[in-house]
Amino acid sequence: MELHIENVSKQYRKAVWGLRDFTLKLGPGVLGLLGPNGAGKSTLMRIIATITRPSSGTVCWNGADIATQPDALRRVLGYLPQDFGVYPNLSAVEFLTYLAAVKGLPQQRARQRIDELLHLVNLTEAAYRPIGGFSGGMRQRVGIAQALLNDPHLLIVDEPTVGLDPEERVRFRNLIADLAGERLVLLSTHIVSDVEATATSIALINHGQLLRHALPEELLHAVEGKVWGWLVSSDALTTLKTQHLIANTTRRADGVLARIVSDSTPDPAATPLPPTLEDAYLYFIANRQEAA
Amino acid sequence: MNALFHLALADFRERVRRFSFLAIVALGVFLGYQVITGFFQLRLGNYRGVLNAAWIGALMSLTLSFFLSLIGFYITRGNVQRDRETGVGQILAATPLRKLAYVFGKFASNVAVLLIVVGVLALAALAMLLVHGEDKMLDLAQLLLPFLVFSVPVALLTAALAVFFECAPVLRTSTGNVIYFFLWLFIVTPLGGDLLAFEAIEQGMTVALQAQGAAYQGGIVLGAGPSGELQPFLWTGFDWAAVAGTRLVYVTAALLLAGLAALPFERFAPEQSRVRAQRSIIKRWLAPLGARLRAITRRADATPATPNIPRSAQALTPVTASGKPVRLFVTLVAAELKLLLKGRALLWYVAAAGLFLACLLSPLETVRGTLLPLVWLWPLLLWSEMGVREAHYRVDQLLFSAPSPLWRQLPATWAAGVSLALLLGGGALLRFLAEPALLPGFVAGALFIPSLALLLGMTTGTERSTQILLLIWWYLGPLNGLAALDLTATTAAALAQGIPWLYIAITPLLVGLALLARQRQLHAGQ
Repeated sequence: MELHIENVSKQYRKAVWGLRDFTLKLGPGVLGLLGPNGAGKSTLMRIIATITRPSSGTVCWNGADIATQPDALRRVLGYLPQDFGVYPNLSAVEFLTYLAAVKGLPQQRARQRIDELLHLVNLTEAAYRPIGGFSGGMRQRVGIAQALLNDPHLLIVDEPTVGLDPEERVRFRNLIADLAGERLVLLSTHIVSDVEATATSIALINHGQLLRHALPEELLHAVEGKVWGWLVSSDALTTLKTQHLIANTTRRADGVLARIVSDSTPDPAATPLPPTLEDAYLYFIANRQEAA
Repeated sequence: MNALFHLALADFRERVRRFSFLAIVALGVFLGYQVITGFFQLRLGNYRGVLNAAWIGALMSLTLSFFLSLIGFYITRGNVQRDRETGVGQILAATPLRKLAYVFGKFASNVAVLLIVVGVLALAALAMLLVHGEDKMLDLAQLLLPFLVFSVPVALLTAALAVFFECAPVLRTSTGNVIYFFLWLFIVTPLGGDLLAFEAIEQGMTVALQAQGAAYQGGIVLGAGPSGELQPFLWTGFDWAAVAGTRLVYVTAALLLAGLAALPFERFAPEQSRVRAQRSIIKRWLAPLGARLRAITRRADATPATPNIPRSAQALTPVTASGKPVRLFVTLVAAELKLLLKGRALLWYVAAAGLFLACLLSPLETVRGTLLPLVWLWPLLLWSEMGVREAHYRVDQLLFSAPSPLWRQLPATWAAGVSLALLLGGGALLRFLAEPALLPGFVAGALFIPSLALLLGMTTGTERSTQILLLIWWYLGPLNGLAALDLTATTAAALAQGIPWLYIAITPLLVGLALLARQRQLHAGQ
């Protein structure tokens, strides 16, 4: 099982690039694709999902170019787009049954799997209600269920936890962690904690370009000694924000503890802190922007 | 007032930046071209006016008014619905914007769009005078005043009707498109003498014609016809100011109607529509029965196919794509058919069953001449969803990332449309089996109509185009027996000319074009 993205570019208009010379080779596991809004994550997802063709470059699934042989991938593809709709008059069961037919699944097996999937995404109670009356989070769970309908070898989920409450978010993370193994999961998000919990490797993307593809521990290692805690007064915080990259702040009785990502110590009073993936993400994105 | 202006401006800008706006302007240009080339004529028996500023102005504005009153409605409606679907409506509802300001904003935007069409035709009138005029004297008042006095009130009234239909329950759905067509057919057209200013123009022209020695007593006719045989007479127009007063009545009516739209407008509160729907008498009668039926079917359906509830994704039943393409296709057609039929009012199914039975039990001539046209009309709203539904409900990405979106999904959609025709027309089909000469008419209807609907839906991206075109087609052909359009051969003339065979032959072309359109959709993001 191999997905090979080679020198893929997508140009929308003359000076507008969705992706530029993007190269990545992936095997089984969960790839967390991290990047700010407009970084090119959804463009990459749509290209891999055979919805959009690249302006140049190739994407090969197990050696087959998906531009010329899209069905080779589509048969084993599960795709949850960032922005998708549903047929509001259908119930969750009817909608999934319809999509099972579209995906070419045998009816009886599909029916069994639909019941199981609805249980997994916690929709059994609402299974026979029209989807038109579902909340945003419930619709998102229907989307997750449809992506898993055909037991996909390649699962692409684009901002999957949008609209989910904390409990459902944890449930989804566990689901993704369960699915990893002999399949490839591409999880695109800008929520670092989602990736932290599930990804076996991480690709950082910004301005349509791959900044770094590494294991989570490699990313953490790269920012070792670059994260600092500094207790400052509330008044000083505003000035501090203009001078340093602040990952977060914690209000305390004696002031505000600022978590600063910096190559060197911001102040002799600052103490080094163990880095998180969010620190690493901010460090690489900020450094890239400065370089640009 | 400021809010109204900006609302109308934003709505207008949103429209003019859509591809459909180009289609509207193209329609205006096409209409003007048809008048310039003499396809549309205004005549009094064997007489026509000398092509001067007055005659060309009247001819162009009358033609425009006639089309605006029908097509104008369909090209302007949809802006309130767009606010509902995009969620912009809910943002507006949370502002101090008043309902009256909102409906007038939308009305103003509608008017602006229609006035652009009026402008295009006014330019066409000028071009016609300069190129084809027999008296090229540029009398701008006589040339352009008919647009202001005749066409603008019609544009205002049409724009107001579009807003009213968008705000009123039931009328705002696709059913409203069908209702407007019949309203136009049975109310607007008979009133046309006054509304479209036929009577005023007719009087003025008849007086001028009689003054030149002709003993003509009949009315004026607007339509297609040869120009060579008509005798010209001089008409220099009449006192437009005298007519303008009565036209103000229509302007006032348009403003009142636009204002009235604020009354049923629910200000984007979905609960209100639901409550109103629940109050429907039929629903009140049938609700308990439906609930019981749902409970029974749910119990049967809800039995899990497997008693093993998976604890993790690893424990899910493994599934792979079926290797039986025919069975797979049949399953998909059934799923598409269910999708077409799902969510209709119970009354729809009752009427469909009634039509089926009536076809079985009525005399053959009634089936052929009356019931079959009704059978083709009844699923119009269902057929008009074909080719549009995926994009409308934003399901396209899910479908297009599944296997064979071109060669399996689209043919299945088409087959579901044809199956619907066979299902609803089954009663007529059974009767025609005993009268094989009538079978081609049935087959033509069952194949051609869903194919055309699919193609139109895919190419125009809106249900309205299918609804209006099929309604006009249905009215002129199957209902009124215009042989060339009578695809189901409800008349002996159409049958004798082999019209159904023509439509059967065209069907593969339509399906082929629909496949091309789908291919284009699949590559749209490239």
